[in-house]
Amino acid sequence: MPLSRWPKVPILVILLLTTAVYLYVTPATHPYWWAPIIALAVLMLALRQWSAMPFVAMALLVAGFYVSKQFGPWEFLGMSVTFWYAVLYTIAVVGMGVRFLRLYWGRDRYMVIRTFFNMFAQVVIGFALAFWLPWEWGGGAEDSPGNGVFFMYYWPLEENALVIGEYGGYTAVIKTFLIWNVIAALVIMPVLVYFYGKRPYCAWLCGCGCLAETLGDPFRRLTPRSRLSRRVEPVIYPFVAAAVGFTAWVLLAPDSFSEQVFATQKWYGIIVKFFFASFLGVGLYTLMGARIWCRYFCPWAGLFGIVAKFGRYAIRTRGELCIACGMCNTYCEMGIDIRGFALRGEPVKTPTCVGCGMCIEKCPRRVLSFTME
Amino acid sequence: MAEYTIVGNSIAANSAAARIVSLDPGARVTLISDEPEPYYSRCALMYYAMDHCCERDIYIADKVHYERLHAEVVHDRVVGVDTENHELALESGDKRDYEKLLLAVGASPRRMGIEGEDAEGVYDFTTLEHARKVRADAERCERAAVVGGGLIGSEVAEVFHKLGLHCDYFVKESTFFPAFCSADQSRIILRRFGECHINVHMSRTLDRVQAEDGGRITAATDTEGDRHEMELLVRAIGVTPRTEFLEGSGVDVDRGILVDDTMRTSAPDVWAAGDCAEVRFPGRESSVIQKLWYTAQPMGWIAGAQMAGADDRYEETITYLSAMFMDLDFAGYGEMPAPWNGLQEISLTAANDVDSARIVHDGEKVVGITFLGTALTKEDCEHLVLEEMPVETACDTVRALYEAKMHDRAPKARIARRRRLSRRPPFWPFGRKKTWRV
Repeated sequence: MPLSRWPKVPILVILLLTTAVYLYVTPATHPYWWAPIIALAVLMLALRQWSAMPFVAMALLVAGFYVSKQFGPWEFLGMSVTFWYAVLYTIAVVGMGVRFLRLYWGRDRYMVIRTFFNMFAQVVIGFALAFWLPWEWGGGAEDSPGNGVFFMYYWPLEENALVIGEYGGYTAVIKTFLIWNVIAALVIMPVLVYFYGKRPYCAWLCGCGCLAETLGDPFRRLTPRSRLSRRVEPVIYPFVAAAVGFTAWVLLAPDSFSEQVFATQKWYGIIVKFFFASFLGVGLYTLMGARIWCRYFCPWAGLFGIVAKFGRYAIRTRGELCIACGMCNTYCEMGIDIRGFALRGEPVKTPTCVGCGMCIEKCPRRVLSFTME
Repeated sequence: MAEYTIVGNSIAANSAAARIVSLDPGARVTLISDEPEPYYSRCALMYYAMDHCCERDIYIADKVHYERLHAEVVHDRVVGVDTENHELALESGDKRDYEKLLLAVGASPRRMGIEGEDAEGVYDFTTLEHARKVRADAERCERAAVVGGGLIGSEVAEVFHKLGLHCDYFVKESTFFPAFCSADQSRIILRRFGECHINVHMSRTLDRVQAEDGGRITAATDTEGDRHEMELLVRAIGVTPRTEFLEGSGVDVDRGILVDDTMRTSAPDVWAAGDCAEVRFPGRESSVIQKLWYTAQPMGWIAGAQMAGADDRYEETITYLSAMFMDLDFAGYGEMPAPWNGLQEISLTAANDVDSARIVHDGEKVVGITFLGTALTKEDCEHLVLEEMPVETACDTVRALYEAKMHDRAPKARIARRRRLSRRPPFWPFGRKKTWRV
């Protein structure tokens, strides 16, 4: 059976989940932790699917890393797993960012500037500021990123952002960050999204976006873009409801330090941030493209997608120039039917578009352009 | 409520069907096509062949496309039309009645008419089937060749370049794409081909194709007598409207199927649109055949309206053509072939020797303009041509455009981009890229 006919996505998703469970019940120190990888190799051999092996291996490595990060705390060279995770993440963004720059250097200025900004954001905000901000300014210890992440992740993606004071006690620094978070999440971001869509955040600043635009770039063509995949997009709204509901509950609860609040936060962290954002989000890069988390699960994207839909940002299409080649659809990370909009002569205005600009770059006839209506 | 039969299943046929359904919601449409695939973008074949886009994305028809058009697709070929009895003869032997008929059969590729042309490994490049074959063959071949100095020929040469094949490119004329390019533009494009290691043979075409015992092409001799080894040959020397099935049917045919500005043919209840139609505008002696994606769409639209009873007329709009030669943008507006009826041309080339324009004029007014590299926007060009600007003004506009570009960073950027194009693709550790085709 040729690779194109093989239903690899469902099979590999099941394999990923099985591995997650296996690694969860088996400590990382277990002598047979490598067993599922060998089993997979045997399966590949049986199916003669060696060409799919690197993708599966990469998915497994990423997923395994997340599992061990979440459930098997370990140290290396005296630094915590979280620190090494941030190091790997930054290397991925910078390394693949350089690859991306080599591809688009002198070809598309928007791509080059955006990628430089992605690398800058990850190195300075996502790594340096998160770990090396002095402790008394709210910086992180070596085993956990501190308040620096609040310059990169805003409510409701960081569901704690509006309630950090509740946990940390009201020091002056915490209060400052709380004020920043409230202004950023409730004033700056809505205004930006109203005028520029989700582009400034999702494609430029957000850590998930930085990784998707650099490490995820070779996998753009794997994005699901069937009618079914578009129809299930509203599954994002339960995640929005969960994040917003959690914040409201903590703020309105008579006792913010109750057992239930901590338990809810813990399970929100495990289910949404670990499983959907990290494990599925990055683990599925090699199987379903880079933006699965952003498209189906991210509470920020869901909430501000509504703002973007009623905002002024759109991609203008000049349908009379369109030759319907479908390159825009091939390279769209969010599975938007851009060609459909172009053939109807409508501007692309959807809650999902993250404004990466790849459709504009790939269009051979200059049909598409960013616009503000 | 009526029944409509459309022969063809590409842009003209589908836009006609869409128009019919929007005017006559109860319409029942039958599309008869000899291609097994659903409606796809013919312009995307090049990108498909060089693996820049996936097969699933070049299909314009999704699962509900034909449902929306109330259309049924019949996979068959029409071999005869009986206009008196309103009957179609199909290749499978069936007969099919029609009430209103649209012929959007397109054009078929021209043959070279030389010895050995039917050898295995000699392809045209007009359908998805051809693109599939070229792509499959290119994977196991090393030397390829293209004949034909037009848009398709240069596209196929680019495909072979991107796939990493050794490519010989034969152009019959002494300059490249002479109907649309000035001598300067031709020189710039040819230099670009050279940079991409495509061996261009000007003023030559093929004389004889040699095949091995199994029938597979091994080499070809050109008109100068030189022998070129090749495992794959694509002929792209133009297309002719498909009219052979209309012999004796009562539908008037000249070079294409003759229609007036309502897209109606000489026979009752028969219309024609797209590449196969030859339009005779009332009150004008000459007729035009427009074989472009951009023109087939409005033609189908008008034909659909006429069939459904509306009175839309096809107006000869300003011709617009756009293409890309190895990352060099090419755009043309208005009347482009220069040596027509005493038209003259002015060639302007920017200091970077990449951007170039050709202004076609009739002595004082602009009638057409083509750009290589940097171009004015389509709106600006329409303005320039439709308002029949004096030639000096047009030249000044173009010169100002090039001046502005010289102070911009763009020319430098384009040069870097061209360098990058002739390099190897970036390092990817997991084998050949085809492994993640989806």
